[in-house]
Formats: sequence, C-alpha cells, structure tokens
Amino acid sequence: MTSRMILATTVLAATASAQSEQTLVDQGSDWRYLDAGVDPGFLWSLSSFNDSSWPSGPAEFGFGDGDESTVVSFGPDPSQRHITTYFRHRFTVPHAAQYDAIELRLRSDDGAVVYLNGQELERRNLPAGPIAFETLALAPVEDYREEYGYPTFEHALGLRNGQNVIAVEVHLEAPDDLDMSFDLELIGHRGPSVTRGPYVQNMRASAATVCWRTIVPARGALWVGATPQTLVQVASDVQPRTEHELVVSGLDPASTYFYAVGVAGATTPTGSAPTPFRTPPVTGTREPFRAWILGDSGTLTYDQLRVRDAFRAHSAARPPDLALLLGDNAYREGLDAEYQSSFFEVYDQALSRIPFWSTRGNHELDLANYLATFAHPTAGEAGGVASGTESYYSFDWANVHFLCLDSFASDRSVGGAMWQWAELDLMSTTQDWIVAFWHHPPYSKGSHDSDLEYRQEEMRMNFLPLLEDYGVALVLGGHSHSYERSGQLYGHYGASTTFDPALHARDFGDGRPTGSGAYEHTTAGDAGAVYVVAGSSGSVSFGGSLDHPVMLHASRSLGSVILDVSGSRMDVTMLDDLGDVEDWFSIVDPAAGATICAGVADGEGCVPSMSLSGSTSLSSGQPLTITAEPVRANTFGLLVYSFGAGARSGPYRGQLCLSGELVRTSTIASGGSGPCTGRFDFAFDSLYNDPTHSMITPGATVYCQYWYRDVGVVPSTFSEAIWFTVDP
Amino acid sequence: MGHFEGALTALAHAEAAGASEPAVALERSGLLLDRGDDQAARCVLDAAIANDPFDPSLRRARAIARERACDPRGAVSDARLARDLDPSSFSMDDALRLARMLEATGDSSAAVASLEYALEIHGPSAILVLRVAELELESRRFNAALAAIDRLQRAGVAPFDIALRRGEVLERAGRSERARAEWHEARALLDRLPAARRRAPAIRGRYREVIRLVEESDRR
Repeated sequence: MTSRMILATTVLAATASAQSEQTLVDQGSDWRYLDAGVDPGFLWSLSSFNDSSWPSGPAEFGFGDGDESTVVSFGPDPSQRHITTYFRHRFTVPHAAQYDAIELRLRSDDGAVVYLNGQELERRNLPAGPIAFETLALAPVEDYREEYGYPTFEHALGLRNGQNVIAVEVHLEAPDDLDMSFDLELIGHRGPSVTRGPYVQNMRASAATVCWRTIVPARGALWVGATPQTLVQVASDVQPRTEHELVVSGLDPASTYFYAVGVAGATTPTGSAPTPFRTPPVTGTREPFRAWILGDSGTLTYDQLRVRDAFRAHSAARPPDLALLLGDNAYREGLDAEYQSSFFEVYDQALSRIPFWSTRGNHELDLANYLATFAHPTAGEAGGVASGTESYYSFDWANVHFLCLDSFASDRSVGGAMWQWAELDLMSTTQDWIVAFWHHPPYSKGSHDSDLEYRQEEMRMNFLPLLEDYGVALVLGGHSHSYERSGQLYGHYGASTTFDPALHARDFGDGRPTGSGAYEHTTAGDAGAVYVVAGSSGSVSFGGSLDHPVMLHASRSLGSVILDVSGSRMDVTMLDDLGDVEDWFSIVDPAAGATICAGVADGEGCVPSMSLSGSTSLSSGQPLTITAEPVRANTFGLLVYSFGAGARSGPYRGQLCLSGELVRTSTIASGGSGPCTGRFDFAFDSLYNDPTHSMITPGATVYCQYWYRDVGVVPSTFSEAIWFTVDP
Repeated sequence: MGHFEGALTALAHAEAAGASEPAVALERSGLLLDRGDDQAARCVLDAAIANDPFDPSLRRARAIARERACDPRGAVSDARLARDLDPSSFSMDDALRLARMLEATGDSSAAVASLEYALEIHGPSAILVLRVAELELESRRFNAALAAIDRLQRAGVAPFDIALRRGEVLERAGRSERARAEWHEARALLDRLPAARRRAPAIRGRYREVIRLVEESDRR
C-alpha cells in the first residue's frame, strides 16, 4: 500500500458478518401438509386457517428422490399424480420490528408460491396470475436448482409480533412428474446485511472498484490494507443505498491487498471477511498472467458447476488473475434474480478475488441489470480509449490490450459509434498483444451458424478487417454452445463456402510447439488471428454441424478456456468439465530482435547469441547493428540474410536456417584475445542505400545469421538467427 | 428476402397476440425499413406512437424513419424526445445520429450542443469529442476545434493522432508553420512507438501519411 492510500494508521481487526441474522424457520422443521389431492380453498394461506386436521412431519418433504424425511402421497395413479401439495408452518417472532429484512431459502421441485401470513412472499417457476390446484409449474427443476435454489430477500414488513404462519404450495411440472421436493429456511436480518458480493471490478494497476449489495439502504464503506490486520477505511457512500460501488485508488501495481466492506462510521468492516485481490502489473510489463474465459455459462446446471470445478482443480496451484465472460452469463433473460443464482452464487469465490470483464450476450436482455451488475471502464481509465459506455470498452493487463465489443445491441456497421471507437482504441494502444472478445462468433457452425445469423455476419464483415489492420492476435466468442477453434486466419470475411486455405489461412498447423509449431504473430501485415468459440461453459448444444472449414478443432465438449500470457507467448487451453485438456495451442510474437534456430557450441566451446541494437527504421537515420557474441577469437565470418517466411521451421542447430535467395556481406573479423572473446558486429544500415540490397524496404522481414570459420571436424558454423521487420 | 418474409410471418402472429405492443411495432418497422419500405414503416410507427406517445424506443425508430425520408426536422423532434424521455438509453449511436440530423437542418451549433449534452450524460467519449472537433472544423471555428482535439488526449487517443489532427486544423486555419511543427511531432511520436505497433498495417498507413505531410510542409 502506498502512503497515498493510507489515510490513517489505525490497525483494525477485521471481523466477519454473522451477528446480524437469526434463523426464524430452520431447515428440517415440522410442517403440516395436505397431500390428499384436493384444493383446500382460497383461505388456506391465512394465519387464521385451521390446519389441525392436516398431518404433520419434518422436512424435507416429497417423493421420488429417496432423500425425503417425510414422503408425501401423490395419489393412486402414477400417471396422474396430485399436481399440488400444501404446507403450513407456525413460528413465533417476539419483536418483529427488529428485523429489516427476511431471507428466504427455498428448495422446491418444481414450482412454488410462498405466503407469509396470507401475503404472497415469493413465486418461483409458476406463471403470473391466479394459481389453482391444477396449475402446472413452468419447467422441470434440475436437481441442482432444487438443492441450491437461490436465496431471495424481502422487506420484513410482513412479519408480526407473536405467531406467524408461512404457507407454501408446491406444484408439479407434469402429472407424471417423477419427483417432488420441498424444504424452506427463513432468516431474519437486522441491519444492512450483505446479500451480494463483495466483488472486485474494473481492476487497474493503481485502482480497483468493489461492488456489493446490502439488504437495506446504508452508507457503505470500503476498507483496504496490505494485510487482513491492517485494513483502513478508504471510501464510503455519500448517501444510503443498497447497491454499493466504491473505488480504492493509489494502489501499487502487481501487489496483493485485502479488502472488506461495512458501513460508514463503523470502526471495523462487518459486512465481509478480509479477502485478497492482486493488482495487475504496470501496463506494458511482460509479467505472466492467467485469464479464465467462460462463455454462455449461466445455465445453473450441474454442467456449469462441473466446468467451474474442473477449472478450480486445474488452477489450484496457479489461480487466474482475471476472467472474461463471453456473454449469456445468466439465463434466460439476465434478470437480477437469474444473475444472483447463475452467476453470483456460482462464481462467488472467484468474483471476490479477481475482476470479471464481460461482454453482453443475447440473453442479457435486461440491460439495466447488466449495467448495474458490472462496473466496466467507460472513460479509458483501465488503459483504453474512452468509450463512454459499458457496452463496449477496453482495458490493459500486463502487456495485453483487451478489446470488448458488443455484438448484441450496439450498431455493428462500419462507421458506427462502436466501430469508430474501436479504430481509435486500436490505433492508440501500444501493447504487445491485442485480444478481442464479443458474444457472436464471426465463424461458427455450432448451434449458431455464422453463415446465417446477421449479427455474426456483420461482426465478421465489418470488424475483422479493422482488427486485422491493427494486429489483433486472438478473437474469442461464445453464443454457439460448443468449442470451435480456427487456424491462423487473415482476410476471410465471406460465408464459409468462400474460405480458401491458400488465400486465408496464414498457418493451418495445430499451433503447438510440440507439433507443427506455435502460431507466429507479427503485426507485419498479414499475420491474422486465431478464432475461438467457447460457448460451452454452461451447456452444450447438439445443433449445428461443427464443420466450419476455418476450424481445426470442434467439439460438443463442456468446458472453459484458459489464456496464459507470458511475455511474447500466449498459450490457449480448452479444459473440459472432467479436467482434461481438450485442445491447446500457442501464439508467439517473435518481435523485432527475436531469435530463432538455436546455435550450437563452436569448436572453441562458444555459443554466440544474436542481438540487434539501434533502430529498424529506414528513415530514422539511426544505425542498426547486428551482433553475435561470444565467438572464437581472431576468426572471420560474414552475415547472411534473406527474406520471407518458411525459413523458420525445423531444428537447425549450427546450420543454415534461412531460405529463399541468400544475400551475404563481405567478411568481417571477430577480434578478441582469448577463448570466446571475439564478436561480430555488422552495421546493417550501411546497406540501405546500396542498390545491391534494394529489397530492404519498409515492411520487409529480414532474417540474419552469422557464418564463421571454425575449428574441428566441421570447419565452419552458423550462429542462431535473428529476424526483424524494416520500418518506414 | 427469404429471411424478411419469414420474420414478417412470425411478426404477424405476434401482432395478432398484441398488436399495440411497442416491441412488435418496432420489430415490424425495423424489418420494413431494412426491406426499403420506408412508407409502411412510418405508418406502423405513427400508429404505435399514437397509442403510446411517450415510448422512447418508438420515438427513436421514427426519428430514423423520418431521417431516411429526408425530414430532418421531424427526425430531430423525435430523436430529442427519445433522449429526454430516457437519457439512460440514449446510446453513442443515438448521440451521433441526433447530431447528424441537426447538421442536416443546417444548425451545426445545435449539433455541437447536442453532442456536448450527450457527453454530460455519458462522461468522456472519444468519438463524441471527435465529432465535436470535426463539426467545429467544418464550421471553421478553429480554436474550438483545437480545444476539442485536446480533449481527445484526455480520452486516451494516441498522441501521434492528436498531433496529426491538430496539424490539419492549423493548416486549414492558415497556420502552416505550426501545422508543420505538429506533423513533425506526429512523426516523432510514431517513431517512439514500439516497433511491433509500428508494423501494424493501419499504423504504417498513418506513418506514410505523416511522412507525406512532413515532406510536403518541409518543401513549402
């Protein structure tokens, strides 16, 4: 923590919240129930209703799962089971006014309506309007939802002093439904208990945003410190509110901090336990990091959980630094309750520690809720150009620039606001890598066909030329509930039938250093990008042919994608829901001065390294020197160079690894006065105005090696090679 | 066209279920506009707005239809009302479109004012500021254009691009020496970019443009 952030030196003991809630109705409580297959009439939910003739028993109630404490009857006909079963429970509250809110944890299979003293408190998986005995639930409930149904929070106004009655009707989804379940827990909350988060957002090298929700309005406050024992209050709300979003600034890059939330004016944070987060390194720094990429994850199914848990296990020793969400984070409409259950409840651990950066999917229909959920940069504060909107934005992390576009609701046309902003943003970044992500993939033959869906077509036709022009290396999308991965592509903007590998595939190998070699990305004109569809983090779809010709790998496997960046290398791994690696590839950026083709020890035991110094710009007037050292003393050699790709594949230890037409310089002496004290320096800029070397023009990629006279069995050797691109 | 026909059939069912629903009217008018049937789109929107005069989405859609029908004043009226009814849904595209509509009425000052108002709603937005700068330049308000370009720097736009744009304004203002200095600065800034970024085709294009401007201005 920097001195700028330390506002006070008070050492605070952090405590977790727990003291402000009390269980009113416990799980496994005794209830009276009516399972006779009859309608008890419209008064049955009132506290005055006489239920003394109903049998009673402990929860969990139901049938068909085998875990019930009380098995209820579904009637004599398994194909015509009782649609509705009714439950009532009395409980006493001595001082109802002390509670600000009540939390309902309902386990119901399938639909349910919950009443408190006759007033409807919660309705789940049932249609709007009057509910009758015959009303069927809207959809079957998976075991996961049944077990972990999300909590809801309500104001405690319905609670009474003394006796209260909670009544629940549980409806089947179909007359032949095989199972039914019910249990319920009711918790009273005093004060501004935290009901969502806290979670970190918009993380930068020097600042971070912390968001959380309280059950009742309060002036929230944020505590941050270098250790859990040294938390200091750094920000607080001006006005009481339930949705809190506070920023801590003045942080140090690449540093771990702890934070907790509470209420302003308190001496300690009582809303959450101290939780660590780590700031990214200074922008441009080539420090390794890991990003976890989830697409179409928000199904709230066992599939979603398996994908999450497989990643957790895989990354236990190397947890992620950030996460990218490719949209459709909470089905079906991205409503607040859906986000609570499918997103916050599922990824709560990760959300509290790392920032999740999201793009909007077609199921994020509730824009207001989407914008309220995330705190994305709009003013360029995270490293990009100010977009003025959270729908599309950019941010830097280490040496990567992430570009998030909105393929769902923003204008996708060339010259539209998003396109103009993207061009300014791409023009302005100085990062080594650019990774772009949005929801609708430009290439897919999964459950969404990029030849048929206009959003996918428009992103492909309108945005890919722009991204290629500015050197984007990797493009991530979701939408199709499958995994698809291309080779390295350039210039393919049409339908799948127009794909021509000879024209559009820059590298159609597997992208693996252990296979046909990593994809090499340079921004020298036509390196292109690799495209990944990763929309299977919550479910897989059996629609689509999965045979898009640009794709090298396609499968209906559940999973998430891991992006590991380490300086000039990006490793992309698809991890399936069993924790197995489904696919992987690497992209390397052999930036100017990168060496290839390892050398070997010469006869004197010297292993020379190649390096560049000076400027690669033709017009700069600056020298450009190519050096090999250490080499044998007092020998002679020369520099060999050539142009073009294809010279770089295969192991060439101590041998010529250039191809095409070779050009050589005059000989030069190594000098030196002892073993391995020689060196070769060649002023490459001396060739610029020489007509013999007229192919050295801006944009040309030059590959160089030193050849020199050696001793031993082979009387000559080659250094490793170096390459660079000539700049204007 | 097959997509349109299919969509229109689906919409017919939706309309049967809720003909006055704004969402249905929006979908239908959007499809009609895409198909080039501007008059029919306009009729659908007029009817929907008569039913719900304060729906910003309908107003926004009719503004587009009116703009396409060369009715800039009517378009401005609807676009402004849409913005004022729901500023939170007033997007960047809406802001640029309203400015364009105002420009079409011949009132570039109002266009600038509408962009500035959008900037108050959204906070800093590079493309809105850029449009302000362009409008000011087109109106030969050079100092205002330069001021807007300086705001671009705060929005994170590349310094070389700022210098290039400043040079263009100064050249148009007849300040050739200052323009030349800006272009030299732009070249120096491009020289300082990491080599990997300089190699990007689009950046190389900018580089060539700057070098041409530098050479031309040096020759004068």
